[in-house]
Amino acid sequence: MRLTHLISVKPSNITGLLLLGTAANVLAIYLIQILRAGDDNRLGMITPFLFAVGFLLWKKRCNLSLESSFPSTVVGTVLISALFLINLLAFPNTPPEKLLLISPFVAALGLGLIASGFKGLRQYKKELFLLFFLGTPEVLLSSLIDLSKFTAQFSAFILWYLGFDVSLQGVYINLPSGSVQVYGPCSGMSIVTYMLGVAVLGLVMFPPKRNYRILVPFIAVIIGFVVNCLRVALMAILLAANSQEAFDYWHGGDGSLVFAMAAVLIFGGIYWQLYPGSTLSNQAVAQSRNL
Amino acid sequence: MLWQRFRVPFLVLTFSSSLLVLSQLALAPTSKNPKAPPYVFPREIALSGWRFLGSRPLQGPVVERQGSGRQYLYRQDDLQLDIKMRLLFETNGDIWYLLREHTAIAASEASSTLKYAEGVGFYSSFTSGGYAYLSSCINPRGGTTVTAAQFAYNRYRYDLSFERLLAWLRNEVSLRDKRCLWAHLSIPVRERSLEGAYQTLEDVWLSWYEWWFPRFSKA
Repeated sequence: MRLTHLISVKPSNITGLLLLGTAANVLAIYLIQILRAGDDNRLGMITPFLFAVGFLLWKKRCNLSLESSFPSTVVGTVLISALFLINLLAFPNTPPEKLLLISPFVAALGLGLIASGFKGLRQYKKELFLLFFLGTPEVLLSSLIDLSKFTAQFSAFILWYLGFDVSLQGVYINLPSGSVQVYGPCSGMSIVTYMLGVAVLGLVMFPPKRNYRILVPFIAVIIGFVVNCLRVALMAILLAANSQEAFDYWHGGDGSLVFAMAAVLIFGGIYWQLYPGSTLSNQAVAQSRNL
Repeated sequence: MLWQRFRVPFLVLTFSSSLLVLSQLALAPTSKNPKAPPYVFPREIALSGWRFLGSRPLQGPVVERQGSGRQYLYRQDDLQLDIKMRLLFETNGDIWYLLREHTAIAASEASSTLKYAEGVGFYSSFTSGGYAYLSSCINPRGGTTVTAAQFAYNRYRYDLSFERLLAWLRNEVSLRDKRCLWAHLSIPVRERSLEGAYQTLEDVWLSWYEWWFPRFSKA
């Protein structure tokens, strides 16, 4: 392709260009708000998702149909404008976390409608699916389920198994020299829903063998839950041992990222075994052939 | 078609607005979301008819959902009044649960009486271990409550307003203001009368509430 073809702005290109520009701006707004909220952790967590979506779109960029009807554009614009409005109303602060979590999906929906209309949304199935799992489950599930009780129970169990003198009262884990209360961010909902998103990311980008597909989300969720309970157990031990510095490091500082990273790595390791070409899945294939 | 002629200008409009919002955010100074200042309990509160003896901060287990607390002591003749005030964030307003978890009062004793006073709200009055108690949760908006259901009702009835919605968008407050001032009053019970003890507590409770509610509402 000649260079002039890449940079020429013909009338037929202008639609695509404007859409791309708007999408880029919307993405930048999302990233900036996360940065301004001080949530560097989140920035790293969303990167794989954004790369995946970008990659998927890039692959089919020549085949995308950018025809949109008036009603779909209106609906899409309403969605996008709602996001703009929320960001402006929140200014100079950042919007509440719940809204930031659902904004990738809402933005993708709005942009998709403006770009390709209701009929054309099917082209973006995978991308919408991925962006949905980038935050929306946390908002939906956290208002339905409170994991705190289960997290507290399992963490207390871990501590008991390790030989600590622990007692459980509702969401309070009591050790001889201190107690912790498991609630809100520590309940594990955040990491569990993130692991669910990672599982979806794997299923969409690197589909494992058919038989394993249904297992993957469950494995991810369980890993996320267990790792979080280990973290809570560690918090309890550190708090009871009165090491405030260590507690702060593992609780809010960089230490908490270690647990999230560990969860993803463990999941990745297991996922690798389920991927076609690994010894585990080859054995499974061989066995199913022998039957 | 008509729409096709308008589509490109429309897209230009959308693009420009996104650019405007982006520049607004990108060029703004980074501001950390403001944290609410910690609530400070006053050292001394006057109570008519009672002599103020002193106050001290409350200790408790390391709980994040609980702010500070203070214990106020009063005397009238030979009767000693003990009022424990605790600030709770993110609570569900279930006073009986709190009583079970944080005090030595048995569940059966606590959940026995629920009373209502006009202009104040619900409160729980009971005896245990030689003391008469009055326990209730002062809501930031709405009357006082004892059960989670009453607390939730107040939250939906009074907290959802337009100003609050705007403040929530600015990440300054949560949609429902789930704070509660847990007031726990107690006096020793004499042989003479339980009713007298309850009456004393209720009178104290009325003036106590009138002192606290306006201040807590504004906080």
